[in-house]
Formats: sequence, C-alpha cells, structure tokens
Amino acid sequence: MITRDNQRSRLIKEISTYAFAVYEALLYLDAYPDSKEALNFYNKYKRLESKARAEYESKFGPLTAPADAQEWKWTNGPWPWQLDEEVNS
Amino acid sequence: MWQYEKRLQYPVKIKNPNPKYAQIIVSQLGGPDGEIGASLRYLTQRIAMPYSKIVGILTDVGTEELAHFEMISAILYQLTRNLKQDEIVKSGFDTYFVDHTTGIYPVAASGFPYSASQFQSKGDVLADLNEDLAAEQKARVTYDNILRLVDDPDVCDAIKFLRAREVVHYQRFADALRIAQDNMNSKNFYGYNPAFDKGKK
Repeated sequence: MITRDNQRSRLIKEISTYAFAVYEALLYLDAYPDSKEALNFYNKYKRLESKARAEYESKFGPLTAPADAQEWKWTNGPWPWQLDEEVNS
Repeated sequence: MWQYEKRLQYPVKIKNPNPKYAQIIVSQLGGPDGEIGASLRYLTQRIAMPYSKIVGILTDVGTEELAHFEMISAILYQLTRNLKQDEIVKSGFDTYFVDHTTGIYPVAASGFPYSASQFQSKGDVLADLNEDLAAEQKARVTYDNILRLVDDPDVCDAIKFLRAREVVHYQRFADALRIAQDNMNSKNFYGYNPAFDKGKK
C-alpha cells in the first residue's frame, strides 16, 4: 500500500539521487569546465532533479524558501532529521 | 542540504584598505560573539528543538549568519588589500599576518582562535532560546563598539547593516520564546523540558 509517508520518502530518495548526480558533475565541472560529456550529464540530471522537486513540492510543500507562497508552509514538519512518527506542532 | 548563492547579502565596497580595522573587525568572524559561532549555535540547537516553527527560525537565522560570515570575510579581504611591509608592522596587523598572511581565519580581535566553547547547545528549549536572545544582544554591542572605533563610511555602512540584523534576529527569537511558552505549562515552565521529556507527557 502506498501511504503518504512512503510516497514522501520515495520522492525524497528520487530527488536525492538526481541531486547527488548533479553535485558530482558540478564538482567535476569546477575542475574540467570544458568537458562536453560532463555538461550533458549535468543538464540531464538537473532536469530530472527539477521535475522530481516540482512533484514533491506540489504534494508535500517547499524544499527551499518558496518562490510564490499563498500560504506559509515552510516551517511545517517533518524536518529531515526527524522520523516519520515525530511530526511536531 | 545547503546551496550556495554567489552574492553577498548586502554589498561590501571599501575604497581604503586599513589593516588596523581588519584586526578589530575579525572578532565578528571568530570572536566570542562572532558570526561563525552564531551560525553553529542555531544550526546545532535546532535539531533537538521540538517546535517546528522554532526549528524554521533557527534554520533560517543560522543560514543568514553564514551569509554574515561571508560579508565579514569580504570586509577583511578589502581592508587588507595592497599592504606595504611598514603598514603591517605600524598598524599592529603583524601579529595576525605572521600566522595567516592576508588569509581569512576565524579569531577574536585578541588573537584567540574560534572555539566552540563560546556557545552552548543545551538541549533545553528555554535555556537555548535565552542564550540566543543574549547572543544577538552581545553581537549587537560588538557592532556598536566597532562603530565607535571605525571612522570610514564604506566600512560603517556594511557594519550598520549587520548591526540591524542582530536587532531583527533578537526580535524573531523573542517570538520563538513566546511560541515555546505558548506550548508549555504556564504554571511551571521548568517542570518539563519539551526537547527531552516529549515521550513522557
């Protein structure tokens, strides 16, 4: 059964996977800015990251301070170090 | 997770280098009420904080302090440009210079290196928030003292911005303390630490 909590962790895992690939490419590009291969890799995973990020944010609220806020959800838990069962006021 | 933005929170543009000023202002990098201690204080305290809004305040203020660490670094960089040997000795900047040249290193004005013993993360909601309120006031006084000692409008402009932020942070921590107390037993705030005793209530 897909619960809200495991949908949340699935999306976080997806974002983290893409974001990690992006960061690896970023560090590499800092030293090898002319690498076409690294640039393509960066762009590919950056796009996937953005897509996963948009899906997460539409369902679970902002990951960074929101660009356009109708309602302030930024301080809603859980925070990344908290376990699913300890959502606070 | 954090992300870096390639800009200062408020511009720093200092026309005249002055190593004496750098030696004073370095205290807001690594001194007892400096920006790196402030950032570490809030970013450590937030983990045990049981109220989500206050976690948000600590996260966002702690993040802003890192931007202030960068602003102080920019001030120090610009104040120590193109130094001549005799200026270094005459200004008293020689005691910093001998160890760090013009590199940025977190020390107090006295030369004492940054130490985590300058802040606390007590794991107690009231103790931590009261420390934060005091910390903002102490940093505000340091900026006031810098403004007494420094007579250069370019430097003072950035310092005044940083001073004003201390006042705003103090007000936000006052809000945080109110939020915490609204969630606590008003008949005895001290009978129960919601950061530790949460399982027991």
